[in-house]
Amino acid sequence: MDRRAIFFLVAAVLCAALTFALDELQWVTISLAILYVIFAVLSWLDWMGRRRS
Amino acid sequence: MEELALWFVIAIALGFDFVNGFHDAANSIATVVSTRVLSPRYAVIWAAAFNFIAFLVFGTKVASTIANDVVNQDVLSIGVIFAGLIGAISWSLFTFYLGLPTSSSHALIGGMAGAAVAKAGFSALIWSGLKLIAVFIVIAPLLGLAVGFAFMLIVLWATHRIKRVDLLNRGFRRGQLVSAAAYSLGHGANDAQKTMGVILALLIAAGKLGPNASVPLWAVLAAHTAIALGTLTGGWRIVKTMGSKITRLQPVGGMCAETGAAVSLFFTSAQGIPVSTTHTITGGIVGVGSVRRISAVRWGVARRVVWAWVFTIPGAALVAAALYGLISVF
Repeated sequence: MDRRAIFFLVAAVLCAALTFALDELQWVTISLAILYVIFAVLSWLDWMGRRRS
Repeated sequence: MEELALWFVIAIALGFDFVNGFHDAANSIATVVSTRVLSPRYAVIWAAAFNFIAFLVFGTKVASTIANDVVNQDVLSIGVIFAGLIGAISWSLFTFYLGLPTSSSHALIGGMAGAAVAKAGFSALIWSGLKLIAVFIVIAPLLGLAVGFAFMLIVLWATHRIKRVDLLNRGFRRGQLVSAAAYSLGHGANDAQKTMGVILALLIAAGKLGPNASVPLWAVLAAHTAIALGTLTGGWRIVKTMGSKITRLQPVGGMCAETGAAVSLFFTSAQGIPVSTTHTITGGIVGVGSVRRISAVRWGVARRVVWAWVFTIPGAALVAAALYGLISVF
């Protein structure tokens, strides 16, 4: 299990959830959520690559 | 008598700024010291200088937020601000004694809110302003973490073919001087403005300035001087926690962590959102540590820091509310 990918996914969910609490600057939380999803995917790919090698 | 009380509380606000420098600003030199780029003495001088010149770069939007968007101006009085400040200072010193890197900034907001509630109930609070600040308690470190992580990945990818480690480290050490300066600039901008906001609120409450007035230049200079002097005095226990206990840092990691935190501070300062410098540098350090592997981050210390964040606003609010109750008797 890639714990780093899970950590990034939790961060993405947190950012996405906080979007609803904002009346302005929602683009910040949405962009961060997308960025953390990308990090999670990259981390998972890295973890899979290491496992295979 | 009111005039004397006004200047007395302004002096306490500047004292709070000094304590903020003493308590929080140490974070801005933690990575430089732990990676041995600068000795502690030169690191504090470096950080204090950039703390001071921050007023030349940033406006005073954070100060306006503190003065206008936390507590209704009708409720603000010299007594409320006095109780809020003492609550914040007491909480900051208590957590400093425990060696916890908590936020003086959130202690200030908690203190002001607590004293205002003690005076006029929960209707004294401006919920939209408090909501934005509360959201950025979480977002500021996550932004620092993301930028720190991404920057570290880019730097490692760009330099992975270079075999001369000594040459690389020399470059990263020079880069860290720049990143530490940027972080200190952001720290000076965001944290000194909180004191300016308190002084602005005091001057409005005392009728010296109108409701939409901007911060007077003397208050800008006084706040930056106080925080720079606080940084010069230093807070070594917290340097130790931030710099070496969360994760072991190399010069490249220090540079990336500070850059992540600086980006977060520049953005929030430009938007007028008061955030914690401690939160942002913690995020940057965790982000850099996560590049190696998630277990490189010492989560026990990071968790302790998070719990301290959770308790800061209610803790400072309770102390300030109790103090306001006490002084209103007299």
